[in-house]
Amino acid sequence: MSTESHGIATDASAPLWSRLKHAHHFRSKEEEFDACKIGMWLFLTTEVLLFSGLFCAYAIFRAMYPEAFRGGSHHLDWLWGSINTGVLLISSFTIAWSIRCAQMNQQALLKFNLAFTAFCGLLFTGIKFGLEYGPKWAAGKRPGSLYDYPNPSTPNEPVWWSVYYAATGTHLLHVLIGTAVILIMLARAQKGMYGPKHYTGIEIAGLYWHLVDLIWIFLFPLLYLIH
Amino acid sequence: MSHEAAHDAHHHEGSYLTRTGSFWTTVIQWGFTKDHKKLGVMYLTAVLILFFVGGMAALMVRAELWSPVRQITTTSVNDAGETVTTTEIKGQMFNFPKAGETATSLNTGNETYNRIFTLHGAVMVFMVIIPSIPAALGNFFLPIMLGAKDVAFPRLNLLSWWIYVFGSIFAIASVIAGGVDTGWTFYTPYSTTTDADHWRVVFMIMGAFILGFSSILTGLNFIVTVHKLRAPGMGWFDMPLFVWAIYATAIIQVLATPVIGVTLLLLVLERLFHIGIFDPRLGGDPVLFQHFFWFYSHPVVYVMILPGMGIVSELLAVHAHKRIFGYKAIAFASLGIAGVSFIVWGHHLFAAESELAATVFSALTFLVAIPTAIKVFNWIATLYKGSIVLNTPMFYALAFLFLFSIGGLTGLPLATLATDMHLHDSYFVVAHFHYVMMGGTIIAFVGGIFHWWPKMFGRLYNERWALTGAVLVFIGFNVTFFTQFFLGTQGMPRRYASYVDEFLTLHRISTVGSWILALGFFIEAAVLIYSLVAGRKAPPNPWGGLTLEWEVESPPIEHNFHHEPLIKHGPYDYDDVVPPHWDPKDYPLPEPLPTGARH
Amino acid sequence: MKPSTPSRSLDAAAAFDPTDPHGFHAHDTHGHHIVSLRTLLIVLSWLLVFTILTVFASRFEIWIAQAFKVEVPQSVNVLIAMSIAVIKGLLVVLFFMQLKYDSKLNSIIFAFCLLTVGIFLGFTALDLFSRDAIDRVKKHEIVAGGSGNFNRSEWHYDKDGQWVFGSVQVDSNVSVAEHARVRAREDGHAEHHDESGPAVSTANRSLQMTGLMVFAPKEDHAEPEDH
Repeated sequence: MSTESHGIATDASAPLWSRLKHAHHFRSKEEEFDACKIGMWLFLTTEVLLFSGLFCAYAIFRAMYPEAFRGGSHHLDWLWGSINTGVLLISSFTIAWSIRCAQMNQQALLKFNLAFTAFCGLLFTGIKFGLEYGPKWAAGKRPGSLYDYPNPSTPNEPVWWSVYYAATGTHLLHVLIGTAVILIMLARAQKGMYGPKHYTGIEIAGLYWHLVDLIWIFLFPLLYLIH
Repeated sequence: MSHEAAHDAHHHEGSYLTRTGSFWTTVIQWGFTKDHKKLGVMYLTAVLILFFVGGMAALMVRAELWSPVRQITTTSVNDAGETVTTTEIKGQMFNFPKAGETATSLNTGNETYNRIFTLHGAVMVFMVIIPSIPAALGNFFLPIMLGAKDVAFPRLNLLSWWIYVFGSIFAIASVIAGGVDTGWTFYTPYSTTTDADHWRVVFMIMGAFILGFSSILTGLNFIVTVHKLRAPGMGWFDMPLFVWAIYATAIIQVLATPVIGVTLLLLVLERLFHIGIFDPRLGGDPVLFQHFFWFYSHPVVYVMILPGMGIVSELLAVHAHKRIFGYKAIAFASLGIAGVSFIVWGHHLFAAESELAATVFSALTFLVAIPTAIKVFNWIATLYKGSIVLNTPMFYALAFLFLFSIGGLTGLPLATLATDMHLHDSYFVVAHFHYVMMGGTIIAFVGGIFHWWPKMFGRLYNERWALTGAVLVFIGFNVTFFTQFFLGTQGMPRRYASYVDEFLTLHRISTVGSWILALGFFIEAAVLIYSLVAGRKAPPNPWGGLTLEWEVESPPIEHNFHHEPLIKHGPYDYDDVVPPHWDPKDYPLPEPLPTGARH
Repeated sequence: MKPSTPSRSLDAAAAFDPTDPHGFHAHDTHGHHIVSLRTLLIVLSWLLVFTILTVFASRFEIWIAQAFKVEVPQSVNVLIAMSIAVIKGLLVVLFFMQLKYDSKLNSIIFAFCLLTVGIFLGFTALDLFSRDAIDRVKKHEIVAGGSGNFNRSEWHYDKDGQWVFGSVQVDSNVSVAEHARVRAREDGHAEHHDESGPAVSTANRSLQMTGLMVFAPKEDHAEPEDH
């Protein structure tokens, strides 16, 4: 293989990231990096289309039952929704920063940023479960036939809660998956796997995390800010 | 790469099939392999086994329709002078009451029939046709045709295979638990209410959901492979048309499959928790489910047929030893079909959707005919003045042309609103999509297997028996399904276990056809299995193909190529290139001999 | 025998890089753009500002609705929320996800993704929102369930206000929903079918027209002892 000379250190004392080679079926590290990014963008495409079904259901039912959606939305706490938006935006920033850290070989900062991003993911989940899902579920504001709230704004309010739980639940699942992926990245960064010549993993995890953020950017106003 | 160079080194490298350890070591090696060839072979095996399962269900469906089901009540006076009424059911082949039901009745028989045709449909669509060509043959040949050592993400490929296995286990578990009677389309509200006390419908839906992920990952892998791993010198228009077809397929897989994911997820939530999104009693909308479902399932029709078209392009060019006519037209027609596939799904719900939407979708549906016709005309033009060798793969390619054209043309009356109102949900639809799905995809798939069998396993098969089987398949197929066009236009609705007496003759002809079809497939299976046991060793290039897979050994070595190949000629340059590994004993060259033997 | 090293000459291309046979990187080095920390911070600030803006817009609407009894139409609410969300989304995609610096292919992939989402939402909405529209020409001969003036059996109120199944005279020029309302008014039940109640949505109309009203017959029927 003629590509082994392309800037790959063979010295065992060199950091791990500088010793990692590309997979044998790629011609260069560069090609592997590009392939991974194309692959990830394609995967993000599938994620967006997965959510498009939920957005579609939202659009159809909101047009059918505008009053139910308005009434249901007023049950949501816009303040906690906004705070959660902020949490995700900041975590999006820190993961973008962590890619920069890897590129600049700032190992300590890299680990901090990854850990902070994962923490934000958990914080988001905590707020969602503890302060939003929990009280609402207990009060009977549940989807479909589980709905048990004594004063619905319109008879169709259960549909609103179905859309709300389906959309935010699917999103929350993605937050949890993203957090797990970032924790794996953190463990790998601990081993010194990421540096200026090898940061594909962080880049990919970052793209996923940004998508989670992107979906929330649209879900938040659609669900919390209806009037 | 010149073929002399292929032998200059690395003689120690064995084929990918070489066993390096004990039986169990080999099993584990295969189970965790990242080699696209081994994964392709495993997919092929699984698909063929499931094809057998789905085929058996189809034979049961046809057997049930051998005679109409009648409940006959006779009243007579016995010796004691009492009036006695006896009821008997006639003409029912299969009647398996569910657990808890003891007596058999018309109803339990009808439900059994529903379960059998759902088993047939779900297995054939989700587990056979969708992965058949892309995951089995595509996995094996796409990297080799591009001159790559593997697909872009081999580990993802392995994951995709195990997801496929896992999803199939879910679906099979549901069948073992008693089967599902929803039809493969899972229409609400039936699918959310039937068998309410049982998990099997949920299992089947989860199975389809999981299989979707496998499809997505395979498609994603192929797109990246085509973009990044083409051999030096291979531009976009030097790629074989099979690769173009798989590429177009992969685009659909990536863009459409996620929607079935969210649809089935909502369906499971609907069934388990009654969230009401598809339930009119709770303010939901069942037609919304149909939109969600067909937004995936219509494009997926092209996931099924496009790779078949790709195989036919290869078969016709190789076995007619002729440059394919209109290469770019065929390549772009693949992309065109992929594009159009996303804007025509509404023709599956002509009877359910609004007048305006039905009109728009009907008009758009006719667009499909344009790229499809471009392909068919180009294939026929390719055959003109070609050195046609009528062997088994070529026979399948010609059968495809014939059957697919019938399937395509009968799609037009179904796309026309006025005639569809009469024909929808009739046997005309059944015949139409079997001509496309089976006469198109499965025939091309089997043709592809016979075309590439020597390459995959290094063995030649018995040509005479293979051709006999192919002819039987062709005859059996037409006898089975052409009659169903008549049944449909005369008013026989689909998905019924019984029928009025007028349809008896046509139904019986169709059932006899299914036996001929089955016999044909059994002969083909025997031919292939026998070739593995006692077949002659295959040369690297038995047909004289020019694409890269004919430059590697049969079967290929672990990393496909001894050296990275360099592309110097197009995939169909039969006019001026002597095929690699040419042996006059295997196949004759076209007369006059090509000038300038560039290879 | 020819030596076949990866760097062997290609007939056409003189400058052939074995690690990059298709010239992906000949013109740009998109793979390794390092985004400055300043850019990231500016983007984060704008994202937070826009979040506050969209929340403020929604609270403002609610406030003026309560204080001045001015109802802002829902379309305005959606338009503001979605415009801000699109801007925020663009910021995330272009800078955090680095699409601005990335290979064109990834942008194309994402564009196709959005196009597909648009097709999905558009065509589904086309059906769901035009379901009660029947072609003008045919309107006079087609009513739900049959054609022309005729008697048909359906659930309806009889003269005594009882909900019964039986023969009803259908008027070709009046939709089923209207028909029921007119009949109810004639029978003296007008106060239970007046227009001040929740508007009958498109879906409800279409449900009634397609005969699915059997599912929910109770909610708009009066008890005879009410008057």
